[in-house]
Amino acid sequence: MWIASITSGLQGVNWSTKAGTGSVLEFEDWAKATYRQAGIEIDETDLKLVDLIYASAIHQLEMLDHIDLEKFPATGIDLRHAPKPA
Amino acid sequence: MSHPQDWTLRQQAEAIRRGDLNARELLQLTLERIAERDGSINSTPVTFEEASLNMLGQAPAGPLHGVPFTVKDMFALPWRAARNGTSFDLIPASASGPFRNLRDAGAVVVGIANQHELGMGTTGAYSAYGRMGNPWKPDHCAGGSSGGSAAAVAARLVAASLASDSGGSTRLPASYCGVVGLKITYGAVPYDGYFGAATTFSAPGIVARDGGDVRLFATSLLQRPLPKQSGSGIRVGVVRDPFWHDINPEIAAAGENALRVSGWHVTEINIEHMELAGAAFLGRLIAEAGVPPNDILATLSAPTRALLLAGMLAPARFVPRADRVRAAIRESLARAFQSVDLLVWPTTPATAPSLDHPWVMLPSGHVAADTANVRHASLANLTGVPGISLPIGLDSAGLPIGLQLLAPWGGEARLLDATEYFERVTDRRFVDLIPPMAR
Repeated sequence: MWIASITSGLQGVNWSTKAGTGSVLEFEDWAKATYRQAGIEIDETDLKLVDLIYASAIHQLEMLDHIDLEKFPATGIDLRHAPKPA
Repeated sequence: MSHPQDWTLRQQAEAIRRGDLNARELLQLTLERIAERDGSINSTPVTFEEASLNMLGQAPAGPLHGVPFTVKDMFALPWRAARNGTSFDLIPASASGPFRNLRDAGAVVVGIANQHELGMGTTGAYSAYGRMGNPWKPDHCAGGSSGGSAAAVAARLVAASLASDSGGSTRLPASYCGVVGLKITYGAVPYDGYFGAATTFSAPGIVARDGGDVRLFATSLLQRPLPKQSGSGIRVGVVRDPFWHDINPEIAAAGENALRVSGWHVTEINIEHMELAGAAFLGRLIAEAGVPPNDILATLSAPTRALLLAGMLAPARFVPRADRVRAAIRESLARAFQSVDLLVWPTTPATAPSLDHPWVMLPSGHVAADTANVRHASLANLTGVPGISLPIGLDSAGLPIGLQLLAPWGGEARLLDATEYFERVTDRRFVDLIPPMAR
């Protein structure tokens, strides 16, 4: 299966919605730059839908930023079996 | 004499074994029925009579000898590449692992089951073969991504279909179409030649008409016995929030009625960290989905393209955190299974929406069916456990309602015991409901 790197398209792009130092890109510009660098062709309809989906996804994913890492230790996962008792 | 596709899989296999039904005749009758009946539901867009006849000619004398079934487009066959609901050969033609197990049991592939493109949806509204209709109401969704599998079984085109389940893709369409859908434990069969090998969420699934047929098919797919025990006295854990709260009231009522008539020992139970399950599922899934090459991307529907493209932008920092939560939820689930045998909640929070507008109304508001469905289905994929959907009635619009059960890892037999028990105590009045087009 094709696997496009999530981050490869971000290299060389400094994206932020806040004014500050360095180049500042709005979402649309950042997304276009990312896809261009990855060689992916998109159109305006794509961008509008991506904006909606991305915003919704990030809203949900940001819950993960707030987990207590001590309560959620990094553990090996074998999906075929029940987890081994700690 | 009735058409043999109105029989169960067990009856077909037994009739062939006894010499009362000729397997070649069954294959011809099945092809004819697909040609006659599939037009409005588009469940089985590809058949290959010559390849099926060749397979039948070489079929060993196994438990499924001579019975036809369809295969979701995610599995490679020796004579056909897996296309995953696109118009591209994505996995070269080969004998995929699940195919080999069923071939060795004597079963015969009669056609390709339509599916939501790339498995990226739960409605069946988008596919290179055209969208799939629900046999109960052809202008409503058959579900997805294994919509063709569920629709074909409900319409009595075949008695069983090999499906897959990465986020409910077997259980959800089974619920929409009023049939039984089993997701097996992650990694329980060889994954070569199967699109599920590319994710940590996917497992093959089985769609059939009732628990007994799923047991027969699953025994061959899993290549291990699934001994039958009484499904009475089972302890089921009800996870109220969110699975019984934010759902259509008719579904809630049907689910409560199912629990009451089952006589199972019902316990209210909480799964620790469930509030993070959706984020963990999403965080990992978007990292695994990837984006196809431009020539493929250009052929996909706008929603599928956007899903894939949006996933590509997601920051990688969420992936290891999603894995930490995933591990914790697996441990919570294992603890829950120390006090109950199965977990239970409605398979979908609403019945099949229309194909033209696949959104559903819930107490929380009007939401895309995909969003609501994945919330109900993804725990099994996040943790690896098996799950099943069984029919428990119709809503006031005449669309099927399903109940979902989850079991511990490797607990397929327990799910089937519960399903068959439920069918018995309800005098099969739900599982034997037949859609109008198949009467």
